[in-house]
Amino acid sequence: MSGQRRTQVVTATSAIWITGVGTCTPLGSSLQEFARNLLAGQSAIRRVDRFDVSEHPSQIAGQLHPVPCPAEDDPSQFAQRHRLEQLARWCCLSALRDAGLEGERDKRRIGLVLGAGAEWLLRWESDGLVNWSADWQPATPPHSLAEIQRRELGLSGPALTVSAACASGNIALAQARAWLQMGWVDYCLAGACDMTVAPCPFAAFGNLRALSRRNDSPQTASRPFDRGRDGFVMGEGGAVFVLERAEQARRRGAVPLAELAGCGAASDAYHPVIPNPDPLPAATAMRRALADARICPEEVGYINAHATGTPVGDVCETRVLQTVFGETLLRIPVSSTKSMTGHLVTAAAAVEALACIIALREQTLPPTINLDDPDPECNLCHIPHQARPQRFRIAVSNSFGFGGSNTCVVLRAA
Amino acid sequence: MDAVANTSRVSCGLAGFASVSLDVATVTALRSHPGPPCDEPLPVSTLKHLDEQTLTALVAIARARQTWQVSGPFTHWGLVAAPRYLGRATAGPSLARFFSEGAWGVSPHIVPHRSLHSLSGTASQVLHLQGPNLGVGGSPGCEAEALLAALTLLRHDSLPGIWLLLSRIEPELPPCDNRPHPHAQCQAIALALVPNLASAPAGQLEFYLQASDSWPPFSFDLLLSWWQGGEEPLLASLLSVGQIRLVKGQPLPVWPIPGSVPVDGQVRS
Repeated sequence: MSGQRRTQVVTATSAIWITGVGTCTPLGSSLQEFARNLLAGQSAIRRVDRFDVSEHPSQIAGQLHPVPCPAEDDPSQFAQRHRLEQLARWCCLSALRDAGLEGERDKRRIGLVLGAGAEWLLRWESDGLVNWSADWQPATPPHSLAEIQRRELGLSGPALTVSAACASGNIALAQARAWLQMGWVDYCLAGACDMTVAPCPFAAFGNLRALSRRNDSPQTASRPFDRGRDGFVMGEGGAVFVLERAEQARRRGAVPLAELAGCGAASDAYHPVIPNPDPLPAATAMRRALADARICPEEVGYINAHATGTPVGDVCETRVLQTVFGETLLRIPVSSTKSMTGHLVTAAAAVEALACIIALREQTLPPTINLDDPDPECNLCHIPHQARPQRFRIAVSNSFGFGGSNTCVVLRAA
Repeated sequence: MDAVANTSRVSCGLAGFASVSLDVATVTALRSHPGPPCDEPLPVSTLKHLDEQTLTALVAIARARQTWQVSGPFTHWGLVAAPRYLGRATAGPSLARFFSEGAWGVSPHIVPHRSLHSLSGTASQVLHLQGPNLGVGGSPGCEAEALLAALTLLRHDSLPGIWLLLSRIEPELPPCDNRPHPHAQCQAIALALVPNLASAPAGQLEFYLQASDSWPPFSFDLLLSWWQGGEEPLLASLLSVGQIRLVKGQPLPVWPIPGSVPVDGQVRS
């Protein structure tokens, strides 16, 4: 098959491998735990218990348990950090350890691209909630979350904070991949972290009427593609990957989790919040990713949809998929793992890339839970309720964000 | 041997450049007058919720377009924006309303208009730009992050152009009354970067993949003082990756140029 021939050529010359991951999600704080719960179709959605939500329009979310303290940190000092900082540090250190790079941090150019869209708002809110007074002012700390990680981890490469709202993780992966392919770094940490289940942002999303109000039934509230969906359920967490050139990884005997085969991005230029009803801009992002990976749409074996569970968004994405895949679409399995994790906002793309990696490694497709009554306007090859075994080599993951950002990444078994 | 592209040097042109510094009252007035950036004026319902930095950056884009005749369409261009502490002025009032009114008092506009992606998303809408748009940084020093991200997109994704927008409130005085401090200025720089040097009258930029401590770090102030200064090239280090060299192109045209739309308020080059 011509696709296989092309695959071999690309892999032999310029492939970028993912060789390590650190994660903390509502479904688990390690790759193994997350994979087990994801493929078991577990819902992580509960009533929010970290702050009073009795007056909030939506009262449910995929909350993180306390972020684990890395083995090299003092627990009492770790506890003093902002939760977002704890999360980023846990994910970065875990990823470096997973890739076997713990001892290499000062010897190689290791870069960092971190998706974080509301870092300052979250920091200001945390400070204000504790230290509020009539003359309270938001501080102006000199260093970003990414720069703090770069300094503390002793990384000698560049560090970037990027945001394309809910598409941030894919943007981070694309920048890191480009740096590696251009030889600007030897390794790159890339991913995204978010802790938006906090009083003000949680209220803001609720007042935006974006969130599900099925407060009485948390575990069935996140229902992408279902006729009864009424908005998304927020989640929090993150995932950070180690990326490196395949040749280098082979030389040092690193085991690949997957190949990051292609990335694509495009903007709606339509509205700050509402997705463009014209499927073309988002389809362009997908087509760019497929072209970047040098594959045809027919070669895709699984689609992890953005599908948040909003009435408008899921239908728009279905039209995008129909535009890109045509009649083939009904043969390609599609699921939304947000049905289990909730929508991790800035971190969604990174965690969903990890879901694709798990699917590729386990040759098992994660389900869309709560899909009891598929919306006829979302006519897709769904994977309802339960994971299912599938032999395949290529997964794509869509992530679309406020500000009109559309992104797609292609992951290939390595 | 790794198959790494020869990208140790990236050259690009500066098709347009503008810096603006507006007082807070002038920016506030822009909310009811969309001004020159918009080919099709943004609805006032959107304008009234935009952050001051976003509004200022839109003026900078307009000025760069008018001054250097940077013409669209920008359909396939990308856009990278680096606002500094975006949303700081409304953080206190948001919390105050949360304390006094509860969850229902929190504005839903925080999410689309006070987050790191907000400036890039709005500007992409104004420019009808359908390439990638992203926010970068968010804190001091983020200008270097943004330039590196822009060069990455320009070189790796082979885009026909990138708008690079840098913005800040200067000085970063404590906000008051839901706005930046009245003695502060809203500042923005817009750069139109293109791969084709022949279509770059404002200048040229070269990036070298060689880290050095010899040059000062690329920053908003460094870029502004270079643009306002003489004809010497700007030499700066870019994070820990490399160095850049910026050279001015044709002499700065007299502002306002004939037929251009005047920008209200204090505007300086």
